[in-house]
Amino acid sequence: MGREVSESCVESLLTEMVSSYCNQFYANKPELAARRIEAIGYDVGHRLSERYTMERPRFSDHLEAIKFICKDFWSELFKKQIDNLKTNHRGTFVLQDNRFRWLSRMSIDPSPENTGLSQDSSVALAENKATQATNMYLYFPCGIIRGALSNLGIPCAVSADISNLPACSFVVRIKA
Amino acid sequence: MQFFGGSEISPSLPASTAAGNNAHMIYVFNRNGVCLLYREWNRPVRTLNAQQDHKLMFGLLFSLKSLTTKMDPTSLEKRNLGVPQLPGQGCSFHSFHTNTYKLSFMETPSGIKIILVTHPRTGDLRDPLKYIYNLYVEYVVKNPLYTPGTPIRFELFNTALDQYVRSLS
Amino acid sequence: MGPERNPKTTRLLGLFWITRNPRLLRAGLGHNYAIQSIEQRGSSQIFNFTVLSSRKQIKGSMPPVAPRSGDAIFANVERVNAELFTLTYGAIVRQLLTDLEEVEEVNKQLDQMGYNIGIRLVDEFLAKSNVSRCVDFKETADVIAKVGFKMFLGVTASVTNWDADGTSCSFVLEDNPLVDFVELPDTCQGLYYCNILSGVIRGALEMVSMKTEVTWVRDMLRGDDAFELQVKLLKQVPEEYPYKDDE
Repeated sequence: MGREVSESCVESLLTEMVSSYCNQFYANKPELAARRIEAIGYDVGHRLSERYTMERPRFSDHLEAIKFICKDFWSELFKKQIDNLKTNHRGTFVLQDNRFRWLSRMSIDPSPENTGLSQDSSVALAENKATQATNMYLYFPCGIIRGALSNLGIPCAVSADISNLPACSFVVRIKA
Repeated sequence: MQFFGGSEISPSLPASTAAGNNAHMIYVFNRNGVCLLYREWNRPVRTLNAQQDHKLMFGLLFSLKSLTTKMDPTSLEKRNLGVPQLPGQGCSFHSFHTNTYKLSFMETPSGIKIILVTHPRTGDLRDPLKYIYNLYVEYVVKNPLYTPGTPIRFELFNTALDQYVRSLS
Repeated sequence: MGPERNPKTTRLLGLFWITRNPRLLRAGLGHNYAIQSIEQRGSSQIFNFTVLSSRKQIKGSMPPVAPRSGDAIFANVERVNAELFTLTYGAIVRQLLTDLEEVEEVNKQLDQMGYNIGIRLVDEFLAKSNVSRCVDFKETADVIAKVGFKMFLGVTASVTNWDADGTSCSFVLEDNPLVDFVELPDTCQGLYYCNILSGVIRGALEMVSMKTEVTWVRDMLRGDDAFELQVKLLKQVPEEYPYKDDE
């Protein structure tokens, strides 16, 4: 077992990094904030995959590399594997984690605040805000996956789908 | 100002409620007196608006802490009434009860104050208050969507709190 | 702070279904405990917690419960691979250097981020360590070094260089997970790479009423033999009545 730190260290660092980019540096430019957060994730993923594949033979195909991300790589990061892997066999892979750790503490109360808004729109507003904030966090793990695959010689685009919380699906589209 | 001005409060002790329904309400304040959380389970009589109610509760605790320290027969350090204290300084009270309710209180060194109002015959709630502080840490402080110092509106926290409080006897 | 009051009473009770078995929960109330983690499984929440002491011990005169040792807490909290932490921090610093350009701005930003982290982490520290008062600066510095550093970073700091009136001391770290695999290029002269730590300490101490000034004295990335942070207590801020009378 390698060196460990408390999970709170990583989570509070992420919270603060996302909040710095979204609320401080690029408060009015969410797309720029997203790009920076993704870039930080990419850097981390690239270096991690370099470390974890040092003593491994090269992967023979895309599926092998994706399986490595689902099993060994995910286990190093989250102490569990990806729960479900799907593919259309045309370069798109869906990696589902049934209970993604970094989202496990995110929740909001749908009860309306005392605003002038009608109940429905106020709930929608709160949920919308929470979804936006949650999406910002997800640029980081998306960046990690893209960085890791790119280090394995696989250029791709990665997005996240959280329509089924606390499950989270990462969609990897490999560039031809 | 009339404090508990409503005259509907029954003078007799309410019948002890079944286990699991002992708690009336909870308050959580931060060190700046902001009411982070107010939640009620069983409060038949309400005499003030929410804001006045929170302010009165905070004021009660603030004064009571000052009084209990002033009256402390074991401490050499004598302070004048109303002089601001550091959280955790002096002695600390943890509950009082009247004929109709019991108020249990906990304050952390970071100035978080948790107040639980229950049936007067409820037992010692010091450990349950610590447990609630732990829930606050796990579900509120560690929630990336929470901005410190703002009111708490989180479903996971409320559910966990409700479940826990219902189990108190 | 010293050993546990009674190590035998400290044990991990393990999985604990709160929704499915409230009676178990009540049985658990005979103890004073800290929640170490919560998992959601379907509609149930599973609480992992550690018993700090049994109620019998603390009933009666109720002496203050001694703070738990940093080792005991670290053994029970959720832990993650330190490489993830180290590399994430490194990536953030690199991105800040690109975005902010000036090294001095990066130092400031890292300190500010640390401060924001500190004001949150303090409650986790207090809840899990069982520290019930932080009135004396010396005691507080000791408990941060021995319990605080250990429970989050897995390393222990030592407290040295106290000044005569007990308002200034140094935290010394010989082992620091933030700098594993880090070497500063020449272009980063003037960067306090670990400045986030000084912010965390400042933020956490401010939440327990201590205004401090935290500065780096030694830095291994600059060739020193250890990391040394000097913490100077400026003032202790009592709690004021927050409302105006006419509100």
